Amino acid sequence: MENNKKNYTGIAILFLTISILIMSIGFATRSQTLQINGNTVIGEEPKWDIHFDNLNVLPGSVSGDAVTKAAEITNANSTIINYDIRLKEKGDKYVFTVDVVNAGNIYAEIGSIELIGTSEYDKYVTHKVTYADTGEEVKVGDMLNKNSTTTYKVEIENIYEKSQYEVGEYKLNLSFAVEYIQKQ
Amino acid sequence: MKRKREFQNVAIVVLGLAIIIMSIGYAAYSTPMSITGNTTIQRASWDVKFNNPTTITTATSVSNTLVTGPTITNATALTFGVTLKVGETYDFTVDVVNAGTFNAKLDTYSLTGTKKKGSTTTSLTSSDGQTYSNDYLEYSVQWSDDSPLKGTADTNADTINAGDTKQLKVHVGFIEPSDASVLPSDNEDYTFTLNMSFIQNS
Repeated sequence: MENNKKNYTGIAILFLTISILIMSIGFATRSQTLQINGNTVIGEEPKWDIHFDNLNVLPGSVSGDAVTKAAEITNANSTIINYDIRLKEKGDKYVFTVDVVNAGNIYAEIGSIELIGTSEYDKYVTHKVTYADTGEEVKVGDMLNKNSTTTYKVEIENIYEKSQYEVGEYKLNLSFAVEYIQKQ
Repeated sequence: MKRKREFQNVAIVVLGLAIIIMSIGYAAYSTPMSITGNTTIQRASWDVKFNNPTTITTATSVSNTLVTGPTITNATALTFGVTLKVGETYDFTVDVVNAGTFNAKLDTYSLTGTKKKGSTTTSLTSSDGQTYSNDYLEYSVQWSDDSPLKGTADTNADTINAGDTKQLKVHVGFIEPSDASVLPSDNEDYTFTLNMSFIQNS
C-alpha cells in the first residue's frame, strides 16, 4: 500500500516537473524580445562661455603721453586684457572697468586667482581688482550665474615716495589671473 | 553566488564609469582670464637740459639766410652758426629746464673760444667766463632778465628747482668800432663754447 502511494507521489512530482520544464521551454521558445530605442535630451544643450566685454577707462586716469597702450581686450576669445602706462608721480592712477560675462547656461564660479607682482612692487603702486558695484575684492569661490554679467574695477596707483637713492625709471609688470570653472 | 558577484562587479564598473564621465564633464568647463600690464614709475632723476631755442628779431638782426639756427644735441649741448657783417647782431633765447626731481644750482661756468683767420687759429679767453669782446665783436650769455650767471664761487649761486625753468639769452654782435682801421681785412671765424655745470642743490 505504502509503496503504491510512494510510486504515485513520485510519478506526480516527475509529471509536474516535466510539465514545468515543458512550460518553461515553451515559454523560452515562445518569447520575443521587443526593443524600443530612443534618445531624449532633457533641458538645453550645455553652453560654456565666459569672457570680458565693455572695457571703459575712467576719468581721472593718466592719459596722453602717459599711456603707451590703453587697456584693451586683446584676444579673439576676449579673455585677455593688456595695457602699458606710465605713472610718473605719486597719486597718478589708471582705473578702468570691464564686464565679465557668463553668456553660457552653466553656473560658474572663480576657481583660482593669482596676483603677480603686487607684493613685490607694493612700495611703488597699489593694484586692486574689485567689483565695481560693491567695491568688494574679487575672490575664489565668487559665483557668476548663467546668463549674467558682473563688472570688475581695476585700479593701479603710484604711491611711491621718491628717494635720492633710487634714480631712474622703473618698469613694473602686474598681472591679475583669474580662472572661472563650472560651479560644483 | 557567483552570479551575484558578477552582477555586483558589473554594477560597480558601470557606476565607476558614470562617476568618471561626470567628473570629466565637470572639469572640462573652465576659462582662464588675465589682466596684465606694464606700469612705469618715475623714481628720482637728475635731468637738467636745454629746450626751446628761439631766435629774437631786432632791428640789427642778421638775415635768416646767414644763420644756422641753434640746435640742441642730447638735450645738453647747443650749437649755432652765424655770419655777420658790420653792424649786424644775432640773438636767441634757450630754456634751461630742470626736468628732474632734484633741485639744482649752477656750480661753474666757463667761456672759451677760438678765432681762425686764414690758416691761423688763436685761442680766446673770457675775463668773466660768460662774455667776450674785442674791438668789434661782442659775445655774451646771461639770463633773460639781464642778470649775469652766478655759480657756487659767487654769492647766491643761480638755482633751478625741480620742475622749474630759467631762460638764457645769447647775443653775438659785429659792432662798428670808432676806429674803422681795427676792422678785420679778411673773414674771421669765431667759435665759442660756454660750459655750464649744474649740481644738486641740497
